[in-house]
Amino acid sequence: MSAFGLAEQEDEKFQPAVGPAFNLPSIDAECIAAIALLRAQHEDGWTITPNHDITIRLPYLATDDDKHIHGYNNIARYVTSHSNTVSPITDSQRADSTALSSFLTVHAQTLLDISLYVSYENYATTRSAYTKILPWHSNYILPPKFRAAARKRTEQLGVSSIDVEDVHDDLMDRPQGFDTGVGQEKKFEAETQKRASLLLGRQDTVRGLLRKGQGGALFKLHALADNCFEVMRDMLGEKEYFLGTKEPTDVDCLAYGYLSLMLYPQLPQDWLGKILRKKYPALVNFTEKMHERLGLATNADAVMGLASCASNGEVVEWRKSKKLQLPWQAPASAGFVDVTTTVAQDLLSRIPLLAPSTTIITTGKQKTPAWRTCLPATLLAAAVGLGSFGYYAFTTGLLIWPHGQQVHIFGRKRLTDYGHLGAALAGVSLLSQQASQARQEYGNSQEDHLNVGPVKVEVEVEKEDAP
Amino acid sequence: MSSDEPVHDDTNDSKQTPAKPSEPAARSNRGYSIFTVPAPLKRIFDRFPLVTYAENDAPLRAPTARDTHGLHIFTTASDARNGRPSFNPACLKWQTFLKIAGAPFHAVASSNHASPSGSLPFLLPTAADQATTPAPIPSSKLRRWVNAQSGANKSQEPLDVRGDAYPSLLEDGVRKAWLYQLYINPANAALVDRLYVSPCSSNIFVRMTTSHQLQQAAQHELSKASASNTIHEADVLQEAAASFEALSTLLDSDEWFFGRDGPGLFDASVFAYTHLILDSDMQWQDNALSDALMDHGNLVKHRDRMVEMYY
Repeated sequence: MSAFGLAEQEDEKFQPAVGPAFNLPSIDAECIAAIALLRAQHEDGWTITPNHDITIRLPYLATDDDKHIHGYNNIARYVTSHSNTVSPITDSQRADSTALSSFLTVHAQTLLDISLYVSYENYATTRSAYTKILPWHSNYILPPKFRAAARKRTEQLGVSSIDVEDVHDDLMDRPQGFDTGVGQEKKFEAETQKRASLLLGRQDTVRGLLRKGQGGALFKLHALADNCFEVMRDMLGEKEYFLGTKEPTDVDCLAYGYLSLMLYPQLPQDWLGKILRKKYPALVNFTEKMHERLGLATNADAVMGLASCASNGEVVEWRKSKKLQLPWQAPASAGFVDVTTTVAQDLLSRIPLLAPSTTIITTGKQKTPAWRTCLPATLLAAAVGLGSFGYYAFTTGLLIWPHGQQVHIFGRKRLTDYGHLGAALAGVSLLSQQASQARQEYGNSQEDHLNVGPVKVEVEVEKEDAP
Repeated sequence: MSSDEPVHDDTNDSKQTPAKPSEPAARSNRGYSIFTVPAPLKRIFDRFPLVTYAENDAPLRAPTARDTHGLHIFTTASDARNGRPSFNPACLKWQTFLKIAGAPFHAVASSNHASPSGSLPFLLPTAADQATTPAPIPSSKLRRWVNAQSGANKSQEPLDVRGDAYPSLLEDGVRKAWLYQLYINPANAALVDRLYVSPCSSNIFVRMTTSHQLQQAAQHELSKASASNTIHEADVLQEAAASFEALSTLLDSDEWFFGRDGPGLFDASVFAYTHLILDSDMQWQDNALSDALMDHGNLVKHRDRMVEMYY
């Protein structure tokens, strides 16, 4: 979800969805599906507002009785139950519909992830589509986030290693003979091959054919795509819609959401669209019919231009003049505070250990203890706390670093206190002292005389001899 | 090297025949060749190799029962001996599938660290001959392996076109709710501790870290569907309830899924979740999934049938 359209229903509901891109009403499959569903089952009474706030789950529907419904499945349940035009479906049709929705969210989403985000060349196109619908600051935050999420979802397939933004890293890590896949052009190799082929003549081996373009990876991708499309084709069969109904149902809209994003974007590496057109014409027919019937072609520039409209009347005028078929509203404009908080939040989330952990919205009474939900942050806080307390304690003298008993020497320090060398020095200095004393004996005052050591010794000897 | 170790035969010979040292001298008479080993070196090499040690015993924990295939799963040692079901849905699915296919195997209590792919289950087939160790088979290739075994009942591909779409109900809706209920719901923390954390270590810090990692992994898994990292409990459970409803409609009043005569892989996959959700041995503290499952009597009966037949 990146740019969302928030649909706001004047009398009944609001429906937010991701903003328009690729000539489609949104860049996110679920959001396209939600718009298609509203279009199919409710003539009017709703509007769409582009939105790009990823803290709320898009698409979301705000109804006039102040309910907020998030996620396509929930919206589909609500919209279908509030529609008078839809004929009820049987239990077995409902079961098929649930199964197919699950199937699409698992498999079709993977294909879209690879096609729009993981492949580097295609991502450049996707990114420029985002540029049109996002405010400037979000352009640096959201598309990389979506790409990271897409790569996380597809990492178990081993496709994410196929192209990495840093071509040199990628080339170094790759084992020999491992083909680069979707994505990056092989500029160096292509150049070398061109020269080699001049020398060696042209002879295509199977391996050579596979190495050309995105050969090796294409095998894997074709298998993935076939897995998904074959099931969809079989489920569709000869019918007009997936469940055999006369009108499109919620699962048709969801299928349209995914298929349209595979078919309509003009991507540099259009393997997904090519497979669809070549091998699954029934699915292409289905998508084009839905597209025509619901009038979902959207010009992104025209929708984003709505931001300049001041009043409701102007919005309606604008829609007419730009031939916008969907009830678009002006996108929410980002204020200074929004920009600051978004940027700050993003920066915070990049600091290891401090990144906010997953929020769980539950009705249960028992909460996970706080230390468990953010163990790294708790550990960090504990370590920092202990460290700063220790520093404070030692600097202020509250605690004393352990050491041996201090040595106190009372009285005058004499040279003999310093061991053998000291004693020897003491002997020398004693001699010199005596010599100088002898010289000064006559000239010195009485006080000086009393302080001289040798004199005291003589006194003591006399005392001992006395008895 | 101690002298009471077995000594190489050559060395014995050289000791017993005193005539040997004179041999190089005799040979030198026949003419000097560059390939002749000089006498001092020859004496050293005659004593080589000096000692041959006996083989070490295999470690006590090395697998002993090599006569049947070993399926490595999350379970306890006693449960593995008694053929009780695993407490991990992915392991239970394949354990049940092998039982359905009739392939002889014994369960081995194991952990992720033992697996070459990093995840359980995997199967260690018996060796055709003692010299080679067969490569372990990860769960993704287990089905093909079973079909390749001549003795096992071939499991047919479901002919129904819906057979491809319905498994994603389990992968998506039910699995997410399972992850939520077991790893994230704080009421069941004691259960995770008993099943996955206690067998790892008794050290309090290791256990704290392990349980934290498990919880983080589950949260990642649940939140990676969207770029934001918020999990709505109500949404997760609602999807699971819708999945059970669809499965129940699919089963209808049949004995097995897709109206087949006997159980297949899909039955095993459904059973893996329904059994663990309904099993009283698990001692759930908070089991919202069971409430959703109880509404569908045919799924409960399906699980009971499977337990009767295989466990």
